Amino acid sequence: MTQMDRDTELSLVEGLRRGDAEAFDAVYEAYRPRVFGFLVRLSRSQTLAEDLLDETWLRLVSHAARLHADTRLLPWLFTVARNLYWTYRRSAALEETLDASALALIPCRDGWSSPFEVAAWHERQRRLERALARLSPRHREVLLLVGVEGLTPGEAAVVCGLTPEALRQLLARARAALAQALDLSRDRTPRRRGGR
Amino acid sequence: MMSNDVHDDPVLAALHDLPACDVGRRRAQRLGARCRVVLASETRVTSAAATASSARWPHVTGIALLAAWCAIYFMEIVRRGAAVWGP
Repeated sequence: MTQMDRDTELSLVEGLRRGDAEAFDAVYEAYRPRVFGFLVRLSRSQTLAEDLLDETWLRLVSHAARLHADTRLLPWLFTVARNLYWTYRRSAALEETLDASALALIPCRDGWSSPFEVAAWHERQRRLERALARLSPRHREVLLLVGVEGLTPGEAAVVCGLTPEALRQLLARARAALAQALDLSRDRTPRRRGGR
Repeated sequence: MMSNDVHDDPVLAALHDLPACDVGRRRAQRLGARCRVVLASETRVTSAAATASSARWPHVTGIALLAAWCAIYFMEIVRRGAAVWGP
């Protein structure tokens, strides 16, 4: 996952405020996969995630000149993306479904040491994705921000519009729900009968 | 759950290992191009507004100076009038 140091980020914000296309390209390349990953896992729909991704980036460039000089770009993008998602959900009363095509987008890691490792890693990821899909969007959102995207609980609280204390409580509940869902998915994994 | 716990928690640590995913290259390029166009047009609009705003300043300053000069001139007339006809 691409990390960006603070000085680089501040200079890119300055570039965006001036309308610098190179600054935009750098931000876009660094953060597009993270915003898309967040949206596709939150919405469980590739089509919706793509539409919301478009809207998120168009919001950024429309507001670029009015960004504060000390804007944290990734939390800003996540805030816009999650607000767009919740607005969509409220207006469309989105039916929660697990979109298999969304999960199929996820690429493999490089540098496997053995086919067994590949199979084990894929199984772990599938279990995690299935467990995430079973959670409520509120729980999924906070786990994606803190667990997957590495935001601090303080940053995630700002993104979700919660107090830090409320976010900590929500995160604890979400974590417990995920742990329970992982246990469930393990129980449901078909086991080989009568091994050798 | 405190921020230290986040790093130590095995469930959240497992989430951190989930791989990134992305839109297709063509779609990404199309969106990037669209955003660059919007960025350029927004910048033009903003700089045009800033230019218009800065061009208004000499005009406003001129009116203010003229008003100040008129006020001083009027006060001087009143003062001289008072000196001639006053008590």
